[in-house]
Amino acid sequence: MKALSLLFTLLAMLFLAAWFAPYDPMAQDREHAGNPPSSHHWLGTDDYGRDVFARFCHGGRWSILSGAVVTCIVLAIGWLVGGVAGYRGGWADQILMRVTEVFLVLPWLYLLIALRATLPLDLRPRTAMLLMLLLIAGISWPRPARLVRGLVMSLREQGYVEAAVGFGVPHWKVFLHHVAPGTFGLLATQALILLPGFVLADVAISFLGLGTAEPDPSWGALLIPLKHAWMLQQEWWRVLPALLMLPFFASFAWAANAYGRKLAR
Amino acid sequence: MSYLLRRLLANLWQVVAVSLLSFYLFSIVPGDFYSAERFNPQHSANYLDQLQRESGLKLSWPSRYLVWMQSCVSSDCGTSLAHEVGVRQLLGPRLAKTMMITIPGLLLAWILGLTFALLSIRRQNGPGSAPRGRPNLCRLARIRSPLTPLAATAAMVPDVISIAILLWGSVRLGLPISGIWLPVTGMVFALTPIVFLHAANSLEYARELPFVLLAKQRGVMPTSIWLRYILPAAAGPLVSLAGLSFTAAIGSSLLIEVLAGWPGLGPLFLESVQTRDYPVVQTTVVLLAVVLSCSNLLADLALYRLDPRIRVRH
Repeated sequence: MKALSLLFTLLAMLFLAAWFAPYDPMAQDREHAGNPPSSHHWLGTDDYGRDVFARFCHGGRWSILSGAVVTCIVLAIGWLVGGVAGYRGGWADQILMRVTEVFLVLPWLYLLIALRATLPLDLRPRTAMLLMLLLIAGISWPRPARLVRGLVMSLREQGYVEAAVGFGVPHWKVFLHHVAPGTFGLLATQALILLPGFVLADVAISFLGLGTAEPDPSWGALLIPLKHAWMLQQEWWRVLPALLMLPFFASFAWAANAYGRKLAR
Repeated sequence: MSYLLRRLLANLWQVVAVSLLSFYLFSIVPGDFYSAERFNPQHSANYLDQLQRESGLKLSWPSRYLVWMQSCVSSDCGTSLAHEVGVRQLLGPRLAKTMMITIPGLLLAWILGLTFALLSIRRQNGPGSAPRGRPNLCRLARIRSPLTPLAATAAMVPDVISIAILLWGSVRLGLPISGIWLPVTGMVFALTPIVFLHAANSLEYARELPFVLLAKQRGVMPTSIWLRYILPAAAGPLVSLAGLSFTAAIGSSLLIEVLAGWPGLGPLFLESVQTRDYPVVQTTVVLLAVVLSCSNLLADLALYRLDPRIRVRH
């Protein structure tokens, strides 16, 4: 409960951040470029004089919202495919297993970048981001699908499911009324695990220059100065956005752990 | 033998499927390596067409796939468009560099993760439940309660952030930021919490198995219980994890190499994606599929050897 409260507090702060950071995240002020943190600019300014805190809040909102959208898509596909494969078994299950093996054999970041290479490089930032979200969803559904499949296979063997089938209840009804509710807990835990993973995917891709492009704010772009050792030496405040991202990822982990423990009880 | 054959076939299917998929996807992409050159007034359209024909970009994707397969068997897996050298020649040293940080990083992460997991599980035997007269062997074991949530949190910290903070700390402390130690440490930071969490879970599960409880009741020495019952029972999931952790390590290596400036496979792959050097991208994808399939196959075979239930089933 505490973990979930912390998570919601942090998210609320991020989404209401326009009040805390009254600067336009894209407004440039060349006279104050590269300034350290001050009472006006809490995290300093970047090379174009843009307020880093405003860019952190706006970029974070986009990253988390897009992460939430991808999570919903991935869980919907994973639930449907895993549920059907687990319940039906046979050839549907075999096909699912073979397809998921192909996706799971490669590290996700290499796979994502390779797929990004198949998109035009001159896309508009938001279009690129939308397509990236769909790509992330396209390569991420096999893992939840396999988990749901395993759970459905064990639920299918339960006495009440066998009884329902024995009484002649149609299979689709048995699945929806007796099997599917048992998978919702797993989906909720997976959502808490997957969401920060997708935010991270967005951060990593933008950091590598293949995701949200300038001038739109993104968490990944805020980490780009960390590639340069000289910048870290002379401008220590460049690491602040990275430090500020930690509580978000940590609170997701705590919430997933707490919820998982609650389900296990 | 049939198990080995089945696993080999499954791995072969994975590699073939990954290679076919990558060739197909790159064939439907508009534009190629020479697209940007069209704006260069020094290069005529005819010359660029000739270059495209020579590099096989005009062929259909199945033909290109066959040509690539032949070149993999006979020579260099094609020629890099950007570097104008054989792809195998280009990737070989880069893969070696990646392995130079991946293998030590992975080994260290396993040593640390397993040690912490063993200590944390032994802690559960603690003063209340441990056999009387036996001292608590390691004081470190007392840190179990903060260690598990700490590891769970650390496992969620993105690699890019942990290595960036490590880099920042090194710069601030005046430590050298070139050399192998930084990427290896980054790898250890990224992988240790994952190994710890899985190892602790496996050990905890194995400790509660009926035959372990029976051995305890019969007064078998704790060291024997650990060596003869708990560790062999926990070995199965850990061997599976070993294969998966190699995949995770290769995945983490990309960001770590980019941040630490390590000349491994990651930066080359990224550069090739940006310049659309498809021979390098495709070969890297297939190479990774082969390497990771082999590591998973080894883990499966080790599991087959360790777990009699799998042998009976097959």
